[in-house]
Amino acid sequence: MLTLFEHIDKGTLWRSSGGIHPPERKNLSNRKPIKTLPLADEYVVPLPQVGESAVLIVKQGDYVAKGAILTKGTHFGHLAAHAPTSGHISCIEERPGNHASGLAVLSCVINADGLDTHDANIHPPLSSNEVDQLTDKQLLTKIQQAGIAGLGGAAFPTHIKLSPASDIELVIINGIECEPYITADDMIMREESDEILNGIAIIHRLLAPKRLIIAIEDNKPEAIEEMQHALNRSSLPKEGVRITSIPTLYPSGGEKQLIQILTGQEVPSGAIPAQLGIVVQNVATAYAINQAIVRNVPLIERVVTVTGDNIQRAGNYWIPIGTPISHVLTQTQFIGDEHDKVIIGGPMMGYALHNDNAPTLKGSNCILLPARDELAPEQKELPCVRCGECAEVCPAQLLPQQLFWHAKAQEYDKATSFNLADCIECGCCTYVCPSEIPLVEYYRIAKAAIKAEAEEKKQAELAKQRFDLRTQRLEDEKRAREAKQKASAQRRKSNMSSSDKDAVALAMARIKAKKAAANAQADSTSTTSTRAGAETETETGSDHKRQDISAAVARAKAKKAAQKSAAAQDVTASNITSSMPETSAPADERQAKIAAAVARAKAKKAGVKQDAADSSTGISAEDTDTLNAPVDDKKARIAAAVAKAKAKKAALKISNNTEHDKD
Amino acid sequence: MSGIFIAIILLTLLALFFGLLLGFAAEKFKVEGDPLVEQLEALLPQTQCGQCGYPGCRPYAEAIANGDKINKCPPGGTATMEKLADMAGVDPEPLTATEEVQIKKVAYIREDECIGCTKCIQACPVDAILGTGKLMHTVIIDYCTGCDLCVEPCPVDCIDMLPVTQNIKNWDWKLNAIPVKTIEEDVKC
Repeated sequence: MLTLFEHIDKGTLWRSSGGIHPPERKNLSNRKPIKTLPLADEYVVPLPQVGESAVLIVKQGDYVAKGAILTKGTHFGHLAAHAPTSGHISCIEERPGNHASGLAVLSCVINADGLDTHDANIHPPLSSNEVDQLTDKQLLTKIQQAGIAGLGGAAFPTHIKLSPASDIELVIINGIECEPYITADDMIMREESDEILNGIAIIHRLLAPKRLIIAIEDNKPEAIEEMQHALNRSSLPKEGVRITSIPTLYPSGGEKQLIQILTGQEVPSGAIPAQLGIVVQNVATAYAINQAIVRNVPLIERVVTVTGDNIQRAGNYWIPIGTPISHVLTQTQFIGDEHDKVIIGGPMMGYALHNDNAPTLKGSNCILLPARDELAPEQKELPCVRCGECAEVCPAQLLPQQLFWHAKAQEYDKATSFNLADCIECGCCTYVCPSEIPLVEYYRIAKAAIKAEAEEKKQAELAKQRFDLRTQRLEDEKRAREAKQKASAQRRKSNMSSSDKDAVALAMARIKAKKAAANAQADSTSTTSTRAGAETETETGSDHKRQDISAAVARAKAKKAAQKSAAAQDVTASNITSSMPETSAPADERQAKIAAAVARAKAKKAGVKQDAADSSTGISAEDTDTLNAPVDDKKARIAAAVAKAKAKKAALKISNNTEHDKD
Repeated sequence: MSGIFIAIILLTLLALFFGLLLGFAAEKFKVEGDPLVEQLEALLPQTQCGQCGYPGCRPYAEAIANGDKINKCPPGGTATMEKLADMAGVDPEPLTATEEVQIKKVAYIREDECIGCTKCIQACPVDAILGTGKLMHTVIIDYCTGCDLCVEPCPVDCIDMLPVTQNIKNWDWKLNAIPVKTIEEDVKC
């Protein structure tokens, strides 16, 4: 019993199920070397390419060099977009996208200056020693910065594939290119085999697999030979790296199919090959990796097969990513009219383009321009006869006719139960169907509907979560408010009950103090005849008067409430005194000015009487004290003194204020 | 004679025993709430829009479980109605709403007209509106369920309900299928 690695070393191949042999028509485009096209006037770089959440770092009118970075993103899957040529950014707007829907996508339009000036970051090739000195992390960062995506068609970010969570035992370099017409990988293998092998060496270093297979279909003998020579010249270990030729069959180039052919293992439904310890990379991706590491050239151009009978100069071209397809068509002498189809991708899996102005993308490996007699004429869909041909050829071992029934009846849950998600949309079933049913179209519709439904379900789930959280929050807020109200009510109540008597006593004290003040006033008026006239004239005078009153109040209170706490007394006293200037302070400015003017005039008059008045009130107050309260204690005296001091201070302040106003 | 008594006692004991057993089981294996309500609620689109006449999706699910009609949910559309009918075990009925209402929409605040009154924020059942007093508000489109509960409270009428725009992400092959044009061929006489 041989182990898997021994089988691989021997070159054992397994059979994958299904598959077809459509006419290849590859020699339309693989006879001439890869050429370049003259520069287009403008290039359209669609911005949301792979890895969303990117920020555009250029603006309209900016000059960008070839290879300059256009977007910046923090997401680990972010792939930067780069300027395919040098020029100015003419606009950033929605342009028709290269997508089956033909919907417009946000694009950065670069007006080419025709110079094709390289960005300063692109440097001459590093030697292999210098490459060896780079750490794995640096290599991966470079690959990510270069915006390298899988060039086989799916355009999955390469740096993610090259940093798997699990150990990788087998790396497969995919040079199958099984779809008819397309020869882009074939030609790049023939012409750039050394570069590709260098790229493979970098992949080998990053993943350190036990085995590495370069798989090429046997309809490309030149490519196999070139790659074999390049492998012999390369620095890759001779042990465990081999080139395996695979019998031609469509769709052997599919990732899962290729794994089955080379290892006999089947990738489980919904799983990725990395879970089996396998990584598959395209040959063109290996070339792009080498360019990014050795020369720091980002992924800004790729080999595109432009072929079909509607093109006079069919062949492979290095086409900058973002080149409008209309430019490619004019340069390659398109002879069809506007009704002829422009297909992106191959005849089996490609889609017809709605608008020729759409740009090429990283995953566009072929532009197919078939003449009208080249494709099978569109025929009317006939009823399914249950012949079972489709099930025979299905490479994913599905039951296409069952899927078709359910997809047509829109019973998507049933279609899902027949593993619709595992359909790779290769088109084999459509190709063999005798009733001309466009089966893949039905599956695509069903898949889109299922995806939309799942998305809606997720949205509904999130909406419910937010609704529940909101309800909870409102409830909590309401409860908190109620609790607060309750607490404050409780506090008020408890305050009432405990300091009830105090409050009443204080109120009583205030009333009595008022009375006492009135008495004191009467006393002072009676004892100081000089003051009698000036009593109500001036504001400062009246202020002093009030302060006098407050002093008297304090004393009276001290006398009356001597048994009560001293603190309470102090508070009242200070409250009353401090409230005086406060009440006069917030007065209207104009009013204050007038008042100040009046006060100034009268202050002069009153100023003379100030001292006398003060001392006299002091005496009179003391008189009342000694008269009315023989039990007066020390505290009360102190309080009175404090009150007096405060009154003085307030008087000073007021006079200062008036001085200030005068100034 | 004693046989009858024995039988009666025996049966009474048995009845007591099973009664206790059932009582215990009823307590032990009690089902909280109506499972049908949960299932029905899971089918509803959770827009909490109240277009069914109930103050949210859960109350409507409860109402359906208690025999209300299944065709009162315009945001869910015909697909949801059919699933509800299937789940509730009743016949599907056409929706009460018109076609126009069934198009998925999201709210959009004309930001220069917004006075920042926060009334729409209070109305939004799913916290999809962002903003604060006297400052402009805006709708988080991804969170908006299109219930249009925010349109009514807006004092300056600056909220529009706009149909969801198609992009590459949400594009549906079916919706954009190129219409087939049949051209009459010349029939040979």
